[in-house]
Amino acid sequence: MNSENPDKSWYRQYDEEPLFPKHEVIKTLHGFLDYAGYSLLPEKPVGFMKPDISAVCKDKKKKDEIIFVVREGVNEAVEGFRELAAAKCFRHNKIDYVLALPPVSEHYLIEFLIEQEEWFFPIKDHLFQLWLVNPEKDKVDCLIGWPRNDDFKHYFSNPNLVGFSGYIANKATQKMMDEEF
Amino acid sequence: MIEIPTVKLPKGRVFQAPLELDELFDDVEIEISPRWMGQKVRKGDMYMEIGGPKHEYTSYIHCDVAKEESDIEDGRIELIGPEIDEIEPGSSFAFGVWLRFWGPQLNDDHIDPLIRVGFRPFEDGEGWMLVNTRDTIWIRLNNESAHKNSWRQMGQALLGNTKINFPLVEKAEALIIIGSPEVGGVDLIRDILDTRIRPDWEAYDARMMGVEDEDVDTFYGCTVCQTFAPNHVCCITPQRNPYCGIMSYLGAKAVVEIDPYGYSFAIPKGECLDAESGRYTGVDQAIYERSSRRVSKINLYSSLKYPQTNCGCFEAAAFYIPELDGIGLVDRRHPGDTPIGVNFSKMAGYMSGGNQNHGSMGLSARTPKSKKFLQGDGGWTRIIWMPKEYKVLLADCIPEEIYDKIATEDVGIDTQAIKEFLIEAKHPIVKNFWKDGEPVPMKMPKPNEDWPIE
Repeated sequence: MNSENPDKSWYRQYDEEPLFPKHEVIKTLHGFLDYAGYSLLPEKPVGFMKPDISAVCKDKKKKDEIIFVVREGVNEAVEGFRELAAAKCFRHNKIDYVLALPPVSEHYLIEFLIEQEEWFFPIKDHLFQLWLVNPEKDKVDCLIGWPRNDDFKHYFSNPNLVGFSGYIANKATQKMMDEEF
Repeated sequence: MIEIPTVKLPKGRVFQAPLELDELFDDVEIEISPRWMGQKVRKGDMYMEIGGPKHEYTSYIHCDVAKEESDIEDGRIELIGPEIDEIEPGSSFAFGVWLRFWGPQLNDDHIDPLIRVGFRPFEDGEGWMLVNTRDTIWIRLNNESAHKNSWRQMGQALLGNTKINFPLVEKAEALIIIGSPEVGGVDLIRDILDTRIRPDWEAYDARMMGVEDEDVDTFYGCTVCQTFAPNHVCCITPQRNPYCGIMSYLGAKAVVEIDPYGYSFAIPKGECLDAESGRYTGVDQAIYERSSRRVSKINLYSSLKYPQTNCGCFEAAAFYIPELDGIGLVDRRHPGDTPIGVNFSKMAGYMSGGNQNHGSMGLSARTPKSKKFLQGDGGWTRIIWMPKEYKVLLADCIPEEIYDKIATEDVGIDTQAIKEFLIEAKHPIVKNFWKDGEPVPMKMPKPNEDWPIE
């Protein structure tokens, strides 16, 4: 898999160094979810995959459940979303599906989502979410999608960052027109 | 009430939206949440379409601020044209949505952020796809959600959403026109656009372009991108938009008024240390404090010495070509290599992330249109290479006497070939910056390091 030789792979590899290891991202997410009023569920497989974290809202009236796949960077994102897609075969639209990454290069993320590749479209079609988790600053943000429990807006470090989806969607316009006209 | 004296409008249906804060979204059946932002509605999934290329974008989404409280009927929604359930599936119409707002502290400076907030229900509404803004607007509704939607509901959501998210708005009304043949079709919308909407936009743009950095005491900063680039801070001035191109100076001003403790903040200019390069004591201090004390000096109009740091969403880049002591420009769409041997993608990879990279700087689509564009580096007289498509795109802002002297990929990316071209074309860099007809490369400090004291 090589960005210079795309024929050798069906998705690109970017020249990135993970900023934080997976276990630190998971640890930060555990703390964040507790802070946001969620309890961790026991680890168990969902169909053919096993989430890194499953959590449910402590407020029983809401019954919101989220499963997380945690990866270390853009290069692992396709594989991470594939895991979420596998889970969605079994739980359908009843729960939220999140890929959590540590901070990644915004430029590479834009290339991954729309400029060099077009992963934005299947991510949106399936209402998957992409969160960025910064263990050093203890901050969590949602970049693509949004949890069905809107209360998360009080807990994300910068809820306005979800505007990133709109930014990418505008970039997608030309590709959409190419497809239709 | 919104009236358009220049055009005879057919009679519409009038609805009244709830006015109490806790009732603003009563009876709105669709979910309005960022969960739906950026969704795509493909042709096969489409129930109906308004705006877009089929009507050559003869459509509009418009906001204005009522001068007097009496100029607005709070909660009034007027619909001219068919309701959603009266529209034949697969239809496509030109359209116009006009929102008018009033509040004692609201003024024309707030129009830019009002537009962003005001139309969010189209962006975040379940089943809706919103592409572009203003006069290139394109909206679709999907089959799955059509039965839950109506213009009455959408009008209510547009007004309610703005009142909730823009607390300076106290009263709001909407005029929605769906240009079906029965009400006059695309011709009606074109008449409104030409006689009323475009003049408003032109006046607003002229006002925005008329403000210069010297005219204000306060600039604004933005740290939204610190999620990606933890030490990056954007400085927004009337003549310097942020790289993402999303926010304007007046937009940032309004955001700070509404949310003074958010990610945008005011920067008192302080003393001007270098007018040519754009260095101010207030900017240096604010950037230092907000960049985890990593960046202590910023020249607003230079890519060579102490440029602003870059996040990753810049639309184009300026880069130093040492062999020619000149500056190249490249935009995201150009796939090929540049005279420094890398393409945009690779260049952006090392530029982004929040470091101060002397010799390279991100640009928004609007940055080159500024009169102060790279002023500290010599402005357009220092630009020697750019992709030809990008050159055509910027033709209006490149000085006429320089346009043909800037090399493109047609000349090549070999610096010797470019050098010969520049000499042959009598590019001003040869006389103004080179010594005895030869370029003298600057020795750039490493990222985040200082220049030697001269």
